[in-house]
Amino acid sequence: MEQQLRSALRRVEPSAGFSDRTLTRIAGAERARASRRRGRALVVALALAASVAVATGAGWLHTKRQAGVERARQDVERALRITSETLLEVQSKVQARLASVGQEHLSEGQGL
Amino acid sequence: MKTMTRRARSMTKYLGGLWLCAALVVSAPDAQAQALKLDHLSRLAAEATESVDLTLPPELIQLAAGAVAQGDPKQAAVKDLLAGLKGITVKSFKFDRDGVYTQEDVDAVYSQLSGWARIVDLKEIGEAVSIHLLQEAGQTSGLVVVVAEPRELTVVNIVGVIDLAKLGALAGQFGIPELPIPAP
Repeated sequence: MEQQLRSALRRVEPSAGFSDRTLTRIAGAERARASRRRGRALVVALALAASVAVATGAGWLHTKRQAGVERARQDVERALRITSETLLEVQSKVQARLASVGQEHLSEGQGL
Repeated sequence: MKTMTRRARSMTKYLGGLWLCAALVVSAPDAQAQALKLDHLSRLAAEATESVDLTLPPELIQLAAGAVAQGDPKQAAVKDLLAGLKGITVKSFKFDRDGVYTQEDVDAVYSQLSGWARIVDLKEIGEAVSIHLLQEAGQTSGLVVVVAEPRELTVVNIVGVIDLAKLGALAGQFGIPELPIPAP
């Protein structure tokens, strides 16, 4: 029994190149972890860049749309103002003509 | 027999669809007919001292209507007025000398107004002003104002449902000056 235990627990030297293989494997695992970290960082950076691009694009579109709306509002306002001014002009001409016709009738009446 | 019934149903649906389309086309107000062709006047801008050449399609008018603030009753009236409009064209030119535009330029406008009611027609030597309205189904669906003076030519064409009293009621709003139009 004691003999068997001693044999089982005896010191065994590792095979040649064991430490090199272990160190290489550790280094490989470290590289893989670093690569995964870089990959994740790249994905996060791309997502952030995409978000910034979308937000900037949306802002630009909103600004452009607002400018379009404002320009449309100004054009419509201008068109309605000119319409009203033109109608006023017509109205004042009609009133002036009516007044002049009235004066003519009055003069004719007085002449009689 | 079943195939025939299915075909008949399909044909009925098809014809129904066609009928509906035809009805919509016939009943739709003819905005094209109310919109005058005024492109021939645009050349006058080059010789004018002041000119306004605006052609506003319905999309632009509705875009502007969307920008009108909600809540204020007067602004709501502006929105209400704009909602009925399908087009506005303004051609206004002022010149520093007589005879820049020709009578043919003005006649080309008048020639498009058959079927329109001329509600104001004032002519003096070298001067003519007129207002024309197009009435459809009891509503004013077109307005044309022409002011032709020796050194000024203005043609305004509004397409769509126009309530002149509403336009007058908007005095001071949206850049519209006081317009003493009597209530209908």
